[in-house]
Amino acid sequence: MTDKFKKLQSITRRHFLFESVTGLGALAAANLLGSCSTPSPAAQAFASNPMKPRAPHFPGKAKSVIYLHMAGAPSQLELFDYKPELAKLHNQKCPQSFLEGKQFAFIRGVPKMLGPQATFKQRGQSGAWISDYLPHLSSVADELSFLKAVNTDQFNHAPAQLFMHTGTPRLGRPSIGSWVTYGLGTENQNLPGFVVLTSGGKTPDAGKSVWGSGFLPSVYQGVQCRSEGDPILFLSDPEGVSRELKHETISAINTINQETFKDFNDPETLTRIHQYELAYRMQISVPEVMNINTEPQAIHELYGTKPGKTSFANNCLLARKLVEQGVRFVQLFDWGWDSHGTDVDNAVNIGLRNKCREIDRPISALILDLKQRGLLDQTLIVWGGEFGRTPMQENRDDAEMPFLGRDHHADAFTMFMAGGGITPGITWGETDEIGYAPVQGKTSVHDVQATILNQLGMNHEQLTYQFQGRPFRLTDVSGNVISVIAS
Amino acid sequence: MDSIIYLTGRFHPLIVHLPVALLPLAGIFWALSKYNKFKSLEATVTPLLVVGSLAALGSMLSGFALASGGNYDEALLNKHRGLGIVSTVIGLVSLFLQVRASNPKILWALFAMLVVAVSLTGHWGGMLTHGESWFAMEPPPKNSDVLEKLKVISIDSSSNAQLYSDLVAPLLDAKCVNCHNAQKQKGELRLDNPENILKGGKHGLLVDVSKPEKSELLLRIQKSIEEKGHMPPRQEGQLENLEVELLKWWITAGAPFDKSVAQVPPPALLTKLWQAKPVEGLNDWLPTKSIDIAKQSVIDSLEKYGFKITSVGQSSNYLSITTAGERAIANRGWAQLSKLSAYVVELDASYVSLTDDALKAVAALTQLRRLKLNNTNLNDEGVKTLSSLSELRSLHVTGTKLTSASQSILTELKNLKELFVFGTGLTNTSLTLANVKVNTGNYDLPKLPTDTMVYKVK
Repeated sequence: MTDKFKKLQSITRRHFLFESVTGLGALAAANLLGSCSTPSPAAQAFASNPMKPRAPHFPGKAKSVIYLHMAGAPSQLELFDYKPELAKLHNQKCPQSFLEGKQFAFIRGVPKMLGPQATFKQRGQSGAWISDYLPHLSSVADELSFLKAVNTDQFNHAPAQLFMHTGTPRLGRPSIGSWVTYGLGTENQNLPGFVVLTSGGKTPDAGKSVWGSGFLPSVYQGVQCRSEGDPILFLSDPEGVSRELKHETISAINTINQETFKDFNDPETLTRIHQYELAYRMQISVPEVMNINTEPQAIHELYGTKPGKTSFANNCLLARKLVEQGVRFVQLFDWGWDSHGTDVDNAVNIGLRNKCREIDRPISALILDLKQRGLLDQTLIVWGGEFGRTPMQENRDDAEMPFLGRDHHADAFTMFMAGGGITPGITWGETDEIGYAPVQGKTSVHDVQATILNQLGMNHEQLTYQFQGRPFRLTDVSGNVISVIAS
Repeated sequence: MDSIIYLTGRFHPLIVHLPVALLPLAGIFWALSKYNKFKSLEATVTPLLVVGSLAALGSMLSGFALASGGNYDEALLNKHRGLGIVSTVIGLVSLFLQVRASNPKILWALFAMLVVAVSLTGHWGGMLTHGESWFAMEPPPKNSDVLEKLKVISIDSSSNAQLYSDLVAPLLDAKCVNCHNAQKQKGELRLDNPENILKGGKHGLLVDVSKPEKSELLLRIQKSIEEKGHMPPRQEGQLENLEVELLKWWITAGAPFDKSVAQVPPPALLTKLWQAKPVEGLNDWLPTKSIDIAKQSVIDSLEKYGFKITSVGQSSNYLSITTAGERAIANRGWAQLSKLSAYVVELDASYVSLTDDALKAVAALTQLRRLKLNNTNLNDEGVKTLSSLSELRSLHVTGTKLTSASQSILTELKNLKELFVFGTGLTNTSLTLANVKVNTGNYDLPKLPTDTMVYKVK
């Protein structure tokens, strides 16, 4: 055999496979390492402190956001959307035209119509319609602007909450607070930039993903603080460990982490470094800001707080204190608004009244308290649920309910905004005579998100993050700023 | 068969680039090759003519297919088509004669005609696609221009402004006519004059006089941006909320072309929206003069002292500074702050213990529009130093030990618009400052019986 043949014979299948694998591996490595080039000065500054305050795209009016989410979906027909025509149809069978082609969460067959269970009046100079379920809010009606034709395409809690907070009904995307802190950082470096406070007894159905950071570096995820007991678990020093010792330990760990970051450029390492240092600073700053006992009695009475217990009122007071100290985004979740009528607690004429009492004074107090501290114009307050409720009486499995209740309704519901430079006293959006479909000023969830970003000085189309080969943004591929209230 | 013609027509804008580039290029290279320096270009002329002419034939075919779909201005289309055919013919003739190495004078003439013919055909083709206003001298009006006009024309019930010609027509011109005009009629619709608006288009009439709210125009502009048929198309400029309401007002009134505002009063919603007063903020008070970017080294050294410095917006070089999280700043830090005195329009030093040096440094920030010194040790003496801040619009001194003795100093701030004094000694006196919104706070929510009523089953 010639030398050539001998050479060819010596190249076995093994050689081929080995070389292919190394070859493919080299291709992959080139791709991965391509992103490991020397970072630009901006990237380096970002790397050293991902939460450093940054300039918005254009000068905006708001510096912080307090988002009040009523998990379960509050009934707009008992709170803000006054429908006298619906009262006339009370207990009548629902016309077929409203049922055709519609999917309901629980309603089956032909339900009856349920008239509004509250009395409505026009309030303040703006003439906003607010029911007697919210007397205190009625007194600050002129600070609010209502969106009465917000619509969504999700009629179940978890996907709808995800849609409202991450811009898509599926898991995996960052929440509004994460996008905001990713875009703007936060002013106070001793506190988290995105704080979450819950009340009402349970976490919202979508779980912690509604304040998750999705594909953004996890430094931007919401930090859940408790309003009862230790505000953040495991923050205080264990016995025998002094604060100085803690500081030395953390410095040593972070020196090693910095080396790791130089080697691998993994943003999660930065998160780890940042969170350790932040936790150290938070040991002092968090107990101080989360302690409502130092507030004067007048403030406690204004909010109606319950010191020592978890309550929405406590959380509102905490929200004010956090924003006052320069926290960028405070997210409040209150559970228990799912007024199906299966139980006394979720009857629209009984349980809902109690829930309203729990939020009425605190929200009004929050607005007034921010106003007197000169913070209202720079703090955007957003209130709403994840969808609305039907004008029809719920009839689960076509049977009569023990109490009066409404099913989930995605087509039209009400949200309101206050502060943050929003033009107050406006009602934008209208539903038909029975509150079923939007007829004017239809607003999508993405429109609301675009408006929140706009008030903070950010263009929702420009705040993007490269992931899976394309740029992503909070508003997905749509959304228009609601120009009539934005400024 | 129809879909094949349609698809062929779609390729016209694609194929047309070849003859537009290659045929004139053949002419130019032929001309250049006549000079010794570029003699080598002679070999390129024939291939260029071959490819260019073949592509021209392809353009013709696809052009006929595209034209058959309608939607184009007849006169302009005829010109374009005619000269396009002529260009192709000249191209083929040039090729024939070039290969036969004919008399250069004839070829000069032919190539010159070819360049002119192809350029003109291309120009008309562009106009067919993009409209005659493509090379307009002025950019089209931005959103705010139209809305500003709306506000300026006094919207009171006795206004003589014409609803269509003063309000609706400028809006249609700004946002719709680019695709719905004489040269370009998307959906076979023109919106550039009353006659054509009433004619409607491919999907029927725009205005339904019997049920105006169900008019096609209104349905389309009120759809969500992701819904099919939403107008304006997603990639174009969108209508503002108020612009939608303006069109609604006009259509619901039956789309009149000759009525004034007085004769067709606006709906209550529009009047209310027009009267709504937006909130004023820092972005309304910014200096109009532009300024060069501040030195990064100055900013970096100040940040080491605990100041957090950002520009008010990426488009601006003016700065906003906060001391959030800090309780004290070294005097040296305050001293350095004056280096940025031309830049700082906002300073929040709440909760910081202020020294005399600190106050002097703050007073040197002449461009300040908003100053926050809440919950500091500021007192009546300290406020005196701040009287030089002539550009100040917003002052927050809540939770400080100020008393009525400061009142006279505060009146010296000529541009002040808002003052927050909750928790100071100033709330006890009836503080009145001309043109200043003073917020003394101390809000109260009355105790209501419903505050403690727990609802249960009866």
